[in-house]
Amino acid sequence: MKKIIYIFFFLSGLYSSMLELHGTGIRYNNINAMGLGLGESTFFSDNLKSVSLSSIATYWKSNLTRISFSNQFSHNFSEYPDNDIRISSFSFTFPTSSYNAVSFGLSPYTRADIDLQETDGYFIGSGISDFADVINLRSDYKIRGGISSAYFVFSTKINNSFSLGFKIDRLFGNQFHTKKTFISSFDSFAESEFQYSQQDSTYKIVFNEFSGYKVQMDWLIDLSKHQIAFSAASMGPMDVNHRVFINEYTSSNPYQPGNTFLHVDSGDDLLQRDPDYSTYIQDDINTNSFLDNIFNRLDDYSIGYHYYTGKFGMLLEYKKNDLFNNPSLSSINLFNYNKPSTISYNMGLYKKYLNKKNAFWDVICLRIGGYYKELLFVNSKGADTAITMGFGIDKDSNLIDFGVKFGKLNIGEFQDENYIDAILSIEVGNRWFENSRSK
Amino acid sequence: MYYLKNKIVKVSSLISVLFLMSCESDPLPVSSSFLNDNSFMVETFTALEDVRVFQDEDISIGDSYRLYSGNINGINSTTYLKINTSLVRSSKYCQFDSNLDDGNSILSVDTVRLVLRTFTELEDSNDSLISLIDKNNLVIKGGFVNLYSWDEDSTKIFDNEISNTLNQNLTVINSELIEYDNYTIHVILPLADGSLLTDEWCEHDCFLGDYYISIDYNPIAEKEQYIEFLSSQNYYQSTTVFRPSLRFIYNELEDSIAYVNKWSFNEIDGATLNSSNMDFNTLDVYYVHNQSLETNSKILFANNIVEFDNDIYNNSNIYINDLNLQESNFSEGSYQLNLNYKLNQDIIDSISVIDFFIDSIKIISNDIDPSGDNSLEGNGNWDYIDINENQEYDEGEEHEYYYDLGVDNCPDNYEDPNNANLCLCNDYINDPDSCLDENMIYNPSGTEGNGEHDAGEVFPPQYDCGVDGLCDENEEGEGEDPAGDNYNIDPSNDNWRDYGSDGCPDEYETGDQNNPCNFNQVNNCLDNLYSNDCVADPNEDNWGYGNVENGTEGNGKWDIGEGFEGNGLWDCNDDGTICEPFIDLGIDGIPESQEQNCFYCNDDSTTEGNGLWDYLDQNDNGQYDIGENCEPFQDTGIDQIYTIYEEGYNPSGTEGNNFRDFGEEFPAEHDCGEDGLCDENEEGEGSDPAGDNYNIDPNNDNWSDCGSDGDCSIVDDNGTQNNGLWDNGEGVEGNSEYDNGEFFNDLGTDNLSDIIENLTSDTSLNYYIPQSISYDIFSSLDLDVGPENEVDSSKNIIFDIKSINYNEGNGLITLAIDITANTDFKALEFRLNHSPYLSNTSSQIHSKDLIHRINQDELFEDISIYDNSYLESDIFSNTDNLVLDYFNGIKFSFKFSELENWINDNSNVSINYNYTTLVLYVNHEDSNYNFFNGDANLWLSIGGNNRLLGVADAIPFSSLVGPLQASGEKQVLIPFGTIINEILEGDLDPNEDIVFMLDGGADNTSRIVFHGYSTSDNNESTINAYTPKLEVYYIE
Repeated sequence: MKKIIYIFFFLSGLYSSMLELHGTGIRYNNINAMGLGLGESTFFSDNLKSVSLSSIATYWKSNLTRISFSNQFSHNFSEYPDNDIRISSFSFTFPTSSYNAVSFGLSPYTRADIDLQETDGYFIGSGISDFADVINLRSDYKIRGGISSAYFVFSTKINNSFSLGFKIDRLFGNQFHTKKTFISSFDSFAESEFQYSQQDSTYKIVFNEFSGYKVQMDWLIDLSKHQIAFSAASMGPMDVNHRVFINEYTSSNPYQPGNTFLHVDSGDDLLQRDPDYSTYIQDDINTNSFLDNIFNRLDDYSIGYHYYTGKFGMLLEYKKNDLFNNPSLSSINLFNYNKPSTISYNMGLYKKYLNKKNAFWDVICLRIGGYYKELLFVNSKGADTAITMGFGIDKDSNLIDFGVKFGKLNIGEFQDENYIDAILSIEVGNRWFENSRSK
Repeated sequence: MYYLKNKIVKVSSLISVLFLMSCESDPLPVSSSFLNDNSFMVETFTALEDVRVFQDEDISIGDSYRLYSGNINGINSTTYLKINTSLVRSSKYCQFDSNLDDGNSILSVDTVRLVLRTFTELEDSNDSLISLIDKNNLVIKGGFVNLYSWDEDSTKIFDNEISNTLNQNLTVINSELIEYDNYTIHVILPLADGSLLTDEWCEHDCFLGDYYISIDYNPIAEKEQYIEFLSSQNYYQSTTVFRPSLRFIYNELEDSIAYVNKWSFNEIDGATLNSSNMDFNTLDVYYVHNQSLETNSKILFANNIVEFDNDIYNNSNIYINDLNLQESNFSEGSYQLNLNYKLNQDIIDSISVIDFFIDSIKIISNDIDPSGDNSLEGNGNWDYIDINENQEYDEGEEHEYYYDLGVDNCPDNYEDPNNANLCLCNDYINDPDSCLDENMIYNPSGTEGNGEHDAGEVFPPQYDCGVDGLCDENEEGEGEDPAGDNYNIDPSNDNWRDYGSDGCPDEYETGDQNNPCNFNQVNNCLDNLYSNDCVADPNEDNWGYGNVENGTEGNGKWDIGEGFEGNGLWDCNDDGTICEPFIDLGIDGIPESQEQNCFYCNDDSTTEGNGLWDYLDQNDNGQYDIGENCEPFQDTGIDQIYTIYEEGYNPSGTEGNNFRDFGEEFPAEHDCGEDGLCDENEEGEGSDPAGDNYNIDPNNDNWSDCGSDGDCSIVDDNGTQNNGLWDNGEGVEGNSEYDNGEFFNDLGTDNLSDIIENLTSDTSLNYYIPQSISYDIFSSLDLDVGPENEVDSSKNIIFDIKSINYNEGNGLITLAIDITANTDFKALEFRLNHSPYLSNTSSQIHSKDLIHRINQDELFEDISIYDNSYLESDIFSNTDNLVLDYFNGIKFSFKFSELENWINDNSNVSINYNYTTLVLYVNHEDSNYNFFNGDANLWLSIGGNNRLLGVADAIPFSSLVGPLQASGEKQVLIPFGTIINEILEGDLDPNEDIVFMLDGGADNTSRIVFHGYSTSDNNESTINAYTPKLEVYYIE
């Protein structure tokens, strides 16, 4: 099993969705397998300690040091199917007192990992030029990377009914996208469709280096068989070092026979090269002015309700998510499209089976759920609808959860995407710091 | 069990993971309209401001690569050259001293020639007696002048001060001192005393000044009107050696090292012989005292040689194997040889020690037939070893060497059937020096009668039948071309060729307006324009100087009467019912479905799909002009078929291609050689007056496997023809067989004479010689003491130096050498060699130097001076035309109105070099236009920064970017990406005027006229279709 975990941890790949073309890539919300099975719930848990990795106000409830990671599997059923496996989160949580806990973690915040090919391209009409006929321009794109989050969480119990969680996300990372544009002549007399004859090509690499932070506050109210949760997150200043490289060749001499455009696998390939153009894009606010603008910068907020009995539970959540809406950062979008803001309605049910014998498992929990997510683009709307299910096994506070969702993504001008996402989460609890708590 | 289950779980999990990991990376197709991410842009600039055509009188006239003398379109130009005499004064040519004898000094200068190369052909290449220039009116002057105002680099154009000064001080050089080659003028510069460079040339007196030359040329109308020289800046064919030069012809002393003999045989009694054997004779020893022979110092032991003595031995190089030694014989015994040497009195004071030794030893034993082959040797028969005993020679069998030259014993190149012995040699075998290299009949490079169709020979069309050898009428099948081998590159005859409105090229023009073309006539005048019988352009329709407005042939544009296909225009027949195909996409050339993604598309709502071929009449002249926006059409001509698809198109056809292909007959009566004249029509005497007859076997004796009848044209029934074997009746030269009458050496099958057999290592006698001896002439040596014990007495012949003595009285050195023969021998030859004295000597040699620089400094400065004929020209007063003229210093400048703002707003863009282009349009019709041949280098200057501009033949640039070529092409595409990039990077200032100009690298007289910026009557500037246009393609 250890080997499998290592493989999960180190491997990741492509998952192409049209959502990746918006903003700086597809947005991740640190959902674990249990939350996925419960309709992408972020607030509530069905385990014995009622601790959820995506609900920072619950971290204090476990008296164990917990190491957890989640691996995500994706499969897209569209005309251009693809599969993917990647780490979706990793965290290390430990108690600092009976009612306090802290956590460190690492997770993707946005990601784009996609190759694109323009189907039709652009034209430059013959009227503009005295010598060139109609020119067709078609580009191939390769986009890699995005923003990652390294976070710190402090979770505490206010009283028996109120819990509070506070999270600071350090947002960082690199993203590059290469664009190779083929310049072609255009034969309108070709018998079948139009015929292009490539005559020239140009190459452009955009390399963005992100640096920023974000704060989040969660409240959790426990009322007998009811739980109510609130969450709000505000994006701090985000600065971007924006660099553009044009026509970079594998050799410094582009006229060398057989020379080709530079193949970029990571930002390291660009270290020895001077950009043709670079700028440091600063956010509208800085650290000092962030507090004054904290409510203006509120881009994520959500509310949830949870009803539970000993073996059964039901939950409802409403969430509103956004990326940064700062106009000064619009130039770092992969294309001319902002990341859509989303409004989602989530629902989940679960049933627990307790095993009082000393066996392989203490609790097995079966989950089902679903959500409807509205994607709000600037000029259009889309929808992401999914049903989810999953199960979890709890043995001595060591958890293995598996969740899967079957979804359909509909974005206006694009073909509908049918997809499956699955997350396997493993959470290991140990009593490393229990002594300090007992004191 | 648990272990097994655990294993199963792990394996299953791994398989699941691998299945889920199967990532796919095919690119995702995305609509461009969604990405909306085009970053390749175009910006065009047509609006000009500060347009100016001006004459720059401040330019230097010394930069030109060419010099001009004569009448250049009404402007009289004189060439002036300055020889930087100070360079000559400090050079070796002025270091002469006739009294010096220490070597490497100039004794005297015979001649100093000025060598000037010209681009103008001075003499007819076929007849040097025909001068193309008017030599009578070419005046070359020279003289020493102190002219402080001369400075090649800073002297301004139209500066007359220099010419005024020089004309007063230079004297005419006698025309007899001027010689001409095809493209060179040699002027012998006068030297005051006729043999030495005078004080004027070599005296370091600043008042003497430099030597100047002026070249005036005022020709009569029938001759070349001006002479174009290569200047001292020229790099003709990438080298500087064709610049104006001086040829010095002079005498100088040259050091050399000579090898001088320290001693030589005394002519009398140089070698004398004593012997213990009574049969000797003192005359049996010969020695070479003639130091001019290679055999010098050789000593020969031989006797009984008929008609041979020591004088003969000293007359020429004679070696032992050259002698008839049949009767020579020496018996075993001891022979004492006394050698008398005289010291070289010239170096007697330098001689103290002589190192000598014996070498070059050849000994002939007494064996008269060492190889035992005398039964074959000298028997008068050609012999071979009949290994297989078939009584005939077979290839591979050893044989006596023979000359496979046929019975004439004469090689092809000397064969002459008219000579008594059929050969130009008295005896080619034994006396090859008797062969005459004149009047050879052998001529492998002859073109008359060689069976090949050579340039200059007429190939009658009736024989141009293709590789099948059958003309259409004889080919099997149906139709006009049954074999399908007819050459045809334009079956519809509708291709546009710029032949002018008469529709025919010059060679078919008749000069008759009623019947202007005759495609059957043969016109040989094109290469001989100076012939009185020839007219180069009978219909006078060639576009060129003096005919720019009306010339239609070669004017680079389609004229009525010329073909339609490929003329760049959309054509219809006369009634407009049949036209070239077009696609009704509107004037943007883009289908409506794609226009959403189109940048810079014209509004074509009224032109797309209207059923008509549309264009945008940008210059409002009511007709389509090439370059104007239009709907795409296929320039097929009225037949609507491109040439390559026209029926009958066959560029690889061999019938009618006016080329003799393999298989085509070429009649002998037309195989008259490159002169086009068969023998009977050639001027001169003899059977081949022009000497161009092909002949590789004058005596017709070469083996060519023609069969036993010896006639290749008749096939032999007996199978002897082309059987690869020599047969009786076939030629015998080169048949690889000995034929009766061919010379053979009769030396036996080892091909060695007895003498040579004696000298081979297997049969020669062995010998002993002492080692090298160092002799101090001031002491005697008696070598009997000591070295004797070292003699190897087992050898057949033993050389032993017994004594050596120097007699100061007679100056002779006497050596006593004992030669002990332990066996009889016929003869021997050896040499007493010695290490020579090395002597440094100086000798006078005659030298020639052709130089254009001394110590990297150019010897010449040169300029052309002429009057300014553009002082009041109207070309400067309007901007309709933009004129460039290096000769007259005419430039133009302008600014693109919006370029500076665009640069400021787009500092971060990346320029695409392959498309970014400045387009200029040539105005061929303007009367000032004068650019019909060669090329011109275009330059621009922005803020004083000069940049050489290339001109592209196609965009994006294929590979050819070069100078502007003189042609009928209207559009000039100048790659401008690097210039724009320099402006973006701040190296060039966009606020400065862009000044265009030519350099003096090519024909200075070229005058190029571009379309400019039209101004209307009310002085408003207007943009027309031919206004200069800058198109900047860039990436955002």
